[in-house]
Amino acid sequence: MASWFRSGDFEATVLPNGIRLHAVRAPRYKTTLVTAFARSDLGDRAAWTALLPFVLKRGCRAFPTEASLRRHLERLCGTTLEAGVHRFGSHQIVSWELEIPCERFLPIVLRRDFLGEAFEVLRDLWADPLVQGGAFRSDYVAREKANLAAQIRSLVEQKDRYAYERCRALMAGKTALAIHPYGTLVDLEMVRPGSLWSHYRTWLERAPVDLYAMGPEAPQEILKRAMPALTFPRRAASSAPARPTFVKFSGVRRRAERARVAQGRICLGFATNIDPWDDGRASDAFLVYNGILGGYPHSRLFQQTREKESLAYSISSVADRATGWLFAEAGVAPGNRQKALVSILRQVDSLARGRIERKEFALTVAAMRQGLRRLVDLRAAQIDAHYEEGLLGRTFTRSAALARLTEVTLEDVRRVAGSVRLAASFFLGPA
Amino acid sequence: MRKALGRPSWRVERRFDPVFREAIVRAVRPGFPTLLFAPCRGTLQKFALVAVDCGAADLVLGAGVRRRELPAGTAHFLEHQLFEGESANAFDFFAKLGASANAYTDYGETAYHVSCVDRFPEALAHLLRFVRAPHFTQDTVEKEKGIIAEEIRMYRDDPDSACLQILHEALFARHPARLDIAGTFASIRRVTPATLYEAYWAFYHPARMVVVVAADIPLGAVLAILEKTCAEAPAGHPRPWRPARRRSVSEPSRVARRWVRRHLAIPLPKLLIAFKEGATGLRGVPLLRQRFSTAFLGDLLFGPGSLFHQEAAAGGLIDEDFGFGYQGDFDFGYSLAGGRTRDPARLRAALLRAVERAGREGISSDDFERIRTKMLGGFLKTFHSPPALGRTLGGCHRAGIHLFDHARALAALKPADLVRRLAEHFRVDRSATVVAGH
Repeated sequence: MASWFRSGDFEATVLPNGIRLHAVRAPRYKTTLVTAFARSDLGDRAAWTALLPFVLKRGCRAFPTEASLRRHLERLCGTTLEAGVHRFGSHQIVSWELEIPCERFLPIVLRRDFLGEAFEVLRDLWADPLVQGGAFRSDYVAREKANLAAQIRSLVEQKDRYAYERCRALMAGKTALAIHPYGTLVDLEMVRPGSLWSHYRTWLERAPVDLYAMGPEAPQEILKRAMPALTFPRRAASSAPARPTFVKFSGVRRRAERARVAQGRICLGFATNIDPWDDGRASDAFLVYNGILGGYPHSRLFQQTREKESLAYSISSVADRATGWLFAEAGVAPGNRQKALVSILRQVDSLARGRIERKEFALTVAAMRQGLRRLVDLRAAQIDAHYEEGLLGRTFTRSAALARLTEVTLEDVRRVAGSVRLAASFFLGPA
Repeated sequence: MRKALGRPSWRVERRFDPVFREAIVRAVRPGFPTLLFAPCRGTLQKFALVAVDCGAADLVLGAGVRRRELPAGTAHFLEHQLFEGESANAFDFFAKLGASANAYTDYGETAYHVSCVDRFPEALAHLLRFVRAPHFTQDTVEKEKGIIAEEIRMYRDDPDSACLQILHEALFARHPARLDIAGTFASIRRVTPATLYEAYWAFYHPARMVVVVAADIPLGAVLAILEKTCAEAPAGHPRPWRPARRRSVSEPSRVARRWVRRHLAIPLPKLLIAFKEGATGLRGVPLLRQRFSTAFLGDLLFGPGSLFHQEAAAGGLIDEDFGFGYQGDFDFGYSLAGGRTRDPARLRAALLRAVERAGREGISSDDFERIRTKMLGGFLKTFHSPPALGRTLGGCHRAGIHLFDHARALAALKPADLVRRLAEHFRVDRSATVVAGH
C-alpha cells in the first residue's frame, strides 16, 4: 500500500524504484496530462543527454520504429507524446509529456484503459529500448545525431532566442550556466552508439525522476494504472537538488555579432542580489521588479521605448528565477541601436534610483495575481511551477504564492531595483 | 438539442452536446454583433474575443468610379491604432483590471481579445468600447509607423515567416494573400488618419462583427454588457452607415509560380510544397466536410504514423521541424507540407510519392479508423482552455459551422470522400514549391 504525502497542490508518493509520482484530480478535464521530468547536471555530456529522448522514441523493442509508436498512440484515441530537453539554472531536464483521453467520454466501442497503456508506453521507451550488442542501434544514433546537430546549428534562426542565449553565455562565462540544454556540436560529435548506451544506463540510474499526472482520475487511480508499468528496476536516486552555481561579475561583458538580418537584436543581461534559494520576499520582489520593467504592456519598456519613442515592436524583460538574473531584449532598426540602448538603460537607472510609482507597482502586482490565479486552468504551467520550485528547494502552492505576493512592498522592489547592474550586453546586427 | 430562451430582444439559441456535456449559446439581435457564448463551468479563466470581418486582404472600397484601394497593411495598422483611445491607451484600463489583452490580424479578419480571472464584466465592456471608439490622430499614426516597421523587419528575419511569404507569392496571382499582412515600408508610409477612418467605417460595422465569450458567468450578464456598450452606433459614424460588401477576388486555380528558389541565410535549407485550393467559397457543412477530409488526408499522407514519415525520418530527409497543415479563408486556401531538410529535391519527391501512392493504392480501412479515432480523441480537448475554445468558436462562426457538428461530420466521413478529395486537391499541377537556403 503506497503512502501518500502532501506536496503543495499535489498528492505525492514514491514508487519502489524511486520515481516520485505527484497527482491531483482535476475533474473538469476530459484528458489526463502526464509529465515526466528527469534531471541531471549540465556539463560536458549535455549533448549526450539531449540525444536520449530522441533516440529512445526512435525505437524500442515494442515499437521498433517511431512510426509504429505513433500509430499505437493514435489508436489510443490520439494520445500525444512530446519529448524535450530544457534547462533550469544548471539543471538539464529531459521531459516527456503525454495527454491521454479519458475513456469514459468516448464511445463504448473505443473504450480501453488508455491511461494504463500510456504508462506501458513510457515503460517500453525507458526500460526496454532497442539495443544490439551493448549499443543503441547505430543507424538511429547516427540519424538523431544529425538531427540534433541541425537543431543546434539552427538556433540562430530564432533571432530573439539566439540573442538571449548569447547574452546568457556572456553572463555565465565558463560555468555550467552557459551550457545550452542541447549541448555543443563538439560533444555531440564524440557520441557513439555503445558509449551512448552506457551513458543512458548511468543516467537512468542516477537521474531523479518526477512524474506528474493531472486529470479526471483520482491519485489512487493514477497509481493503480502506473504501478504495473513503472516498477522496472532502477536504483532509487537522491532527489535533493544542489544549490545553483554562483557567478561573480566585474564590469560589463560585451559582444556584437554580424549576420544577414534586417533588424538588430539587443539583449542586455543584468545581475541582481537575488539568491534564488532565498525563501524570503526578495525573490517575489524580483519578479515584481521584472513586471514593472518589461513584463507587461503597462511596463516601462513597452510604454516608453516602444510606445513613446517608437523604437521597437518586440521589447520585454524576463526574470530567470533559477539564477536571479534579468534580461532585457528588443528588436530595433540597426540605426537605432544606441537610442534603444540608452532608452532601456534609462528605465533601469530610473528604477534603480527608486523612482517607482505606486500605480505601476499596483498594476504589476494585480497582473501577477491574475497570472497565479489563472494557473488553476493551466495544467502544464501548474506542473512546471511545482517542479521548478522544487528545484529551488521549495514547495509550490498557488495559495502560498498569492499570499507571498501580497506581502511584497514597494520598498522590497526598490531594494531589488537598487541591486540591478548591467553585466552583459549582446547585439546581433546586419553584416 | 435546440431550445429558445425567453428574452424578447435577443434571439437566443442554445445547443447542448451530450458527449462533451457542454453547451454553446448563439444570440443575435438587429444592430448588435452576433454573440457566441460558452459557459465554461468550473474554470476561473475567462476569455472574450471580438472578431471583425476585416483582414489584410480587405483592400478595396467602393465599386466602379468610386472604387479605391487601401494601402497594403491597413487592417493591421488599424488593429494597432484602435488600442490608442482618445483619453488613454486601451492597455491602461486592462492593466488596472489585471487583464491580459492582445489582438491579431489575419488575411480575413482582425480579432481583439482579453483574458482575466477577476473583474471580467469590466474587461468585456472595455473590450467592446475600445473596438467601437476609433480615434486616430496624425501623431499617433506617425508614431505607429516606426513600431510597425520593426514588426515587418522582425518577420523578415524569421525564416519560417519569410518562407511562408515567398510561398504565398508563388501560390497567388491576384489574391491579396500574396502580400505581407503588415504591408511594406512604402505602403505603411501612405497610411493616414483618413485612411484608417475610411477603413474603420467600412469594415467595423456590427454586421461584420462577432463577440465570443468563453467564461463561467451568466449569459444574462454578458447580454447586459452588450446592451450597455453596443446599443448605440459609435460616435462619428457615417449616415447612413452600411457595412462594406464582402470582397471578391477572382483568383485563378493555377498557381502563379510552380517553383521558387530563394537565398536565405539559414544553416540548412527549407522546403515547402503547397497544393492550392480549387474549391473555394464553401460555407457550413460542405466546408466542414472539406476541412475534415483535408486534415484527415494530411495526417494519412504526411503524419507521424505515415509510411512517408517513417521513410523520410529514416532517410534523414526530415526532422522535428517537419510539419503539415491547411490554411485558408473563404476565398483562398492551400495544404502545406515541409520543413528543414538536407535534400530539398529528395524531400519533394518523397512527398509527391506519398500522394501518388495513396491515389494508386487507396486508403486502407485500418489507416482510416486509426486517424478517425485520433481525431475523435482530439475533440475532448476542445473545452479545456477558454482562450482556445473562444478562438475555435470565432473560427466556426466565420466558416458558418457549429462546433457541435464536428463529431457528426467526422462520423459521416467515408474513405470514398477522401479518395475524391485526394484527386481534387492534392494535384501536382496546382502545387507550388519553395526552396530557401544557401
